[in-house]
Amino acid sequence: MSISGGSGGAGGGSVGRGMSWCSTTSVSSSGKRIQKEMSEFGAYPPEDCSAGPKGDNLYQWIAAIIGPSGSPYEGAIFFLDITFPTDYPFKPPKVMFKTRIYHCNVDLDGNISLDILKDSWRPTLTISKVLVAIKSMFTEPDPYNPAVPNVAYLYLEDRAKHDKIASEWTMRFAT
Amino acid sequence: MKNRNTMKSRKIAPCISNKETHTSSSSSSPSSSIASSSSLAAMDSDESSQSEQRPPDSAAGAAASSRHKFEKILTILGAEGADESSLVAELRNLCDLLSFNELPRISNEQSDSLAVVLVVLANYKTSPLVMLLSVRAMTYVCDAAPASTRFLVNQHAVRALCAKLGSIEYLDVAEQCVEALEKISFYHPQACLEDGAVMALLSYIDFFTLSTQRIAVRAVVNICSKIPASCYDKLKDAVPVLCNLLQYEDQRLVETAAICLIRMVKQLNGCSDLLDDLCKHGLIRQGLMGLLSGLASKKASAITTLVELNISNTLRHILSSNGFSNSTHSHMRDDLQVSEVLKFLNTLLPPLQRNCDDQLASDKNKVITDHPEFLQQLETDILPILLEVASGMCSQNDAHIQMTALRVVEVFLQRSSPSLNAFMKEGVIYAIDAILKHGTTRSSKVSSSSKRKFGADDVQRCLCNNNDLDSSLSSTTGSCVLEDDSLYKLARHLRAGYFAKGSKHHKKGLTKMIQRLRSLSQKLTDTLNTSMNNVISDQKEKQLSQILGQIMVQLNEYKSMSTFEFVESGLVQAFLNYLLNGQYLDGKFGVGDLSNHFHVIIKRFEVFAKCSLPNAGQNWENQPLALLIQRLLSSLHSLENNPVIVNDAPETKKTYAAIPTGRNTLLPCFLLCFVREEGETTLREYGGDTVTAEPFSSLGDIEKYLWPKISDNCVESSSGSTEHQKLRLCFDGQQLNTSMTLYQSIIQLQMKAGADVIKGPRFWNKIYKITYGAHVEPVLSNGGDSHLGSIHDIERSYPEQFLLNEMGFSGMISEFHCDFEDSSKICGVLSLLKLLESLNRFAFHLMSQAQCRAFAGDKTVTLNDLRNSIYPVPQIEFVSHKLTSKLQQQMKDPLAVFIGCIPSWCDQLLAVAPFLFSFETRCQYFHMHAYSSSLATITSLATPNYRTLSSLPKRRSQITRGRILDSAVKLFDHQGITDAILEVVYFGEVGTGLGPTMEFYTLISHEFQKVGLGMWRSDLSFSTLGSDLKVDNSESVLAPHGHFPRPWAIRMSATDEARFSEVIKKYTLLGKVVAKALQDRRVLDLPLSKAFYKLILGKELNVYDVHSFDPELGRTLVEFQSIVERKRILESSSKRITRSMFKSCFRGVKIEDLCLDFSLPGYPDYTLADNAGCEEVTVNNLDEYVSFLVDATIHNGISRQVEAFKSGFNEVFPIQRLQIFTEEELEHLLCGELFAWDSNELLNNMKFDHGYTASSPQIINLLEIMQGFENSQQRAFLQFVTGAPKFPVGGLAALNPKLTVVRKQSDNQPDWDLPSVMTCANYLKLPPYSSKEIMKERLLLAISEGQGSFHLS
Repeated sequence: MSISGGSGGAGGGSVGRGMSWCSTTSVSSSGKRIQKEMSEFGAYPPEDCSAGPKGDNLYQWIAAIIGPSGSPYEGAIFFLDITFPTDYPFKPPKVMFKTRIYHCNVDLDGNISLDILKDSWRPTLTISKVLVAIKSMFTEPDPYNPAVPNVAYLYLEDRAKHDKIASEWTMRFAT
Repeated sequence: MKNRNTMKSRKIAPCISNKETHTSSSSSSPSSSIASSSSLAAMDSDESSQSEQRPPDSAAGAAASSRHKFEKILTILGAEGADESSLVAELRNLCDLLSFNELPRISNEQSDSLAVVLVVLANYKTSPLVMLLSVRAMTYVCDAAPASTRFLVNQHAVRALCAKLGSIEYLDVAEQCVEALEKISFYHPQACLEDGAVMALLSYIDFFTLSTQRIAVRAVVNICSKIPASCYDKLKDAVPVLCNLLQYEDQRLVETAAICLIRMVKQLNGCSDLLDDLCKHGLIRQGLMGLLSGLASKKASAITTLVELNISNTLRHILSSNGFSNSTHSHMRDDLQVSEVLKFLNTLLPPLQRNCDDQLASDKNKVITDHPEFLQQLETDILPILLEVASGMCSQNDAHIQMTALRVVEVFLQRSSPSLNAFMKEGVIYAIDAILKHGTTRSSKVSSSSKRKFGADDVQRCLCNNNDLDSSLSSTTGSCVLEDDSLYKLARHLRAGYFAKGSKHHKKGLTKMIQRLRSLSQKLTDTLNTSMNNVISDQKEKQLSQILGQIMVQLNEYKSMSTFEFVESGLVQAFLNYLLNGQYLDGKFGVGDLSNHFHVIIKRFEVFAKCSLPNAGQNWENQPLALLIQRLLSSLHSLENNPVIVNDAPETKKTYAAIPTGRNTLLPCFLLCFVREEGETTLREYGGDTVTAEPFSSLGDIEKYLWPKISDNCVESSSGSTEHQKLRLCFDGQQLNTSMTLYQSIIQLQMKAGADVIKGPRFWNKIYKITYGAHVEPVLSNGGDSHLGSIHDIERSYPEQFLLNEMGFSGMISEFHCDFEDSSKICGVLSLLKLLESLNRFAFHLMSQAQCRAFAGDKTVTLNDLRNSIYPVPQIEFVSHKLTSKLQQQMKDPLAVFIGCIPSWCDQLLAVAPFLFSFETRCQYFHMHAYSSSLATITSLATPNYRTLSSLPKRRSQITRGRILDSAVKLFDHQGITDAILEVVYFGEVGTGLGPTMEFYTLISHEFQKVGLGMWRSDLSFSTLGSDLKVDNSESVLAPHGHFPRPWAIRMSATDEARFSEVIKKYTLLGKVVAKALQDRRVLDLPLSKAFYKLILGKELNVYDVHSFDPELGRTLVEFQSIVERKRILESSSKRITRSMFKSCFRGVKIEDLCLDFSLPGYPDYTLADNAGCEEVTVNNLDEYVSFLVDATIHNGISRQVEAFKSGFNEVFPIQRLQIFTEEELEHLLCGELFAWDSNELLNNMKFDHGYTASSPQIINLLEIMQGFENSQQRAFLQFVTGAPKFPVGGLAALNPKLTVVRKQSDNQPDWDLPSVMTCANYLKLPPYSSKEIMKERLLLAISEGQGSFHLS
């Protein structure tokens, strides 16, 4: 299972349960695609975002987003885990918050309710676009499609209180 | 004799299990007792042989000793002041003596004293046991010594019994009384009647068990066999009870009650009180029309009563609820019933010119003139329906029914002047014309053939005699009163008398509606024909779809259109021509080379779907497609008249059947004799005698038997091609169809010959002469085969192919029953129904295709528009209630029950158009054929009534719990596994029976889902972060949309090769397990995808099916496909195609930027062979990429696995048998159903026993807990109690035996005890917990802990 982040890194076989049958000898198209995204990301990284493979596994990435100014998450760094499926880009990557965050679209385990990570995923999307979308989630939460209904309710009913708790959490967990 | 034993051992305490055995014994014993009494004149030879089987009173010594015993018993019983226990003991002895038929010949005095004693003891108030036993002894006396019944009657036993019944103190005593009365009433009906037995039997009938109810009503039947006219008041009160009984569910009970009423009517001829009562109690509703017409024919007063009772309303109710309109009523219009109604009307209404001097006729006339409102009401109420029925009847072949219908029409025409339009609309005139036309050419033929069939075979079938209620009982040889040409004369009279005037169209009998629709359909056909080349001209298509739209509007607007109008409008033909682009002819698809018409046909289907299917938000009910289906179904109902053929219960006579296997059977066999065809020289003369053949033998079986006897070169043939047809077999000059069984062939040929198929002894005793000749291979026209091949070849390249394949273009419909007079009409209706059904089921595919095309042709459409929301008409709308009930009746036929012999139309219709039958009926049909016929015959010996699962032979096999798959492989290697029900025991565990078996299926389904097997696709996006590098092969595959085979490359490395061969083995095993589960009606816990079910059903998949098991991949594939199409169109239209046009065609991104190569996503080893995985996917090779992915995912990548599955399956039974089901239904069959429990359902379908009742607090708690179960808990509970996590089809109600809760006795504190189960009996033993909370806690503990082993509890 030796996969380098560099060129010629082998594809599948590393992630997930179903992969015991995948050989690691050939370069899969998902591997190539991820490499391409990695180099593009390196060349043109989105503002306040960074991402890259965790270790020598091309399919396990770690990403960080800096909370945008004007939001209760301002200035803090949020870490995310990204897992690419072996049939990427036909299937969406799995993205999870590793840093705790008070946000109506992110649940306590870090799962994100974001349509482009589910039904609206298209192979044309990239990890960079996904991170941009998550970043915009900080400033514009979607309370009508919540992962935590209580937070969404508070966001709609008492915005000030919501923002206060959110910044408290940010102070506590993300800085 | 065996039955008696169980009877003897019946305990007094109500015990359910004993009662069950009792039921069967008591229902069968009366018939045998009747047979043994020599009073019946008609004694068959078999029955005498049956009586021989009784143990002969052989040894004189034994007789003497039993005589002695009997005398002793008699003295003890007769002694004054004998104590109860000795009475009981002696009565027991007496019963034993009587029931073993060891009773010596007893003298009259002895019988008399016995009777005295028994009657006295029956009134022994202090001990119910004594009463019970003495009444039982009476019952046995009637059986053992019928002669002594007389003494019982003399001693007023009947009165005593009636008193017992009236007081209804002890239920088992009362039930025993019923039995005794049933016996006595057989010999002394009048005495019983006089002592008021009828009311005694009937007044508390609801308290009895079903079997006792049946006996009670049978007793009443006996009593009714002789009713003196003065005794009506004794019966008066019984009439309402009997009428009420007619509404009960049990078929046998209803029949017997009806016989009672019929006998009453017969005996009390014309008693007006009776008639009044009958009418008041709504008898008519029960469909006993024959009864009424019998009454009405006798007396005018009866008619007055009927008229006053508003009969017309009732008649309308009958006709409309049973009518052609495919209503939701469960009643089915039976041809016989309708003809009964017609006949009834005929008797009700005064006759016309004929026989006017008749007293009765003038009475009737008077009634009608006295009640003018009656006729009016009749007219408004039922005329339209009546006419519809009448025209349907007129078009039938039976001259008698035609005659009756015509007479009714005549009466109406004469009495009032209804508008002729109604007659036209329903096609009465048309039908009369048809009779006239046939009349001139065929009148002699029809009547002579009907003469022959009625006159010769079964006189009572002639409807002329049916007014006599008991024509089937009396064997008078009445002749057919119908004169040869009277029908023709009447028809001509009507035509000339009433329909002569009017316009030209009136003369033709055509309404405006027909003309309008005709012109429209003509227009459609004409437009089609203008240019019959295969080029799609847009203009023409537009024109066509406009006309189609107009027709749809017409169909929608004229709701009152009659079935006749629809059939005659020519719409069916026009639609077929349109949809198939003129490639339809007489029930055959594809006259020419269909492949050239694919694009046109698919386009037409799309257009048709668009203008007939409901859009989002619309209700399907009033949409054109639903209406069209309704019209088609009612047309089908009025056109088809396939007979339901019912055999008498077969005599159980042992015969040796030489064909197919040469063994003894108890079922009737055909007698065959073989004759060499004239001019046949290659074969020898068959010298042998007649041969017996079992009805289900195939022609192949006959050939196998016959061939060695007539052929010289049998040695050569046995080694060579055995499957080849070698003989041509003919019966009555008609060649026999090789695909049918002997039974079906003979029935069909008989029907063809015009004979009414009645299967009495004649049918079985006849010798069927079969001529044989050498089989000559017909020269196949090259066209048929090559075009099938071509369809298959281009399958891959055009996704549209699926439709053509799906719709069975192989011309199956053409074979359908073409001996109808207007078979082309039926074939047309069926074909169109079939096409519409496919269209409806494939609505999603069609619409996806249409959108794909829209995107390709129009630049303004974006990929986001490729979503579709289609709401097809529910599948159940295609179900024909008439055909369903016909098939159900047919399957109740004893021969169908025993060996699955049904007429060929059932098989053919099910093969061609299974959707016409309800799911339940198809399940029944499927299970009827689930085991091989040879097995069925064996089991029929065990259960004379119905074949049930429990009666089939079982095969017990041992399984190692830890290595289920390996054990299962061994298990299925054994021979004979397919002919017995599989039962499983685990090594080292004592549990046997249903529970471990069900658990086996559950466990093995879990085993099949293990990741390590490499069988299934897995949803890779579901993998969690935590389990990163470790791969657990024992985990289950995650497939939220159901399992679908994982693709395996054609070329693979050696290690993969080895793994793949394991995968193939697993698929073979899976096929066997699935087949066995279906055969044994077990449930698997294996969620398969819809697409995989489609493959099992032999359907082809296409790109739109990927969506159903992998939505993400499916969506992208369809989008890619659309881009490919668009490019194709652009390239063909403009020459200057530049790369830039497709620069960012995929949602603003270049295809190249997706960085795809020619390997399968998720399976990097699977690469396109030629490209070796190195080439990048661009817009120019996108089409190749799409077809590569599709091929790998649903065709070549999985075909070997699917083939392995099928081959495994076929070892159990032919997988084609499943093809009568849809994917959803198959899933339902295989996986059962899981649903929320509601308290009513739980209460109705559970039993509580041994210390619990439905109102026990513990039971109330339990039910509340069960309703509160979550899905997972429900599954665990079911697994705990029944061994399987899901119910079989039919839910809780289908669980057999019923889920039973009993009280668990425990020595110490019940709250510490755990509930336990007996899975084989579906028994839950529940300790009486003190509170609901404790119960829930203990129950959940038990269901989570108790899983996975079977130990004694």
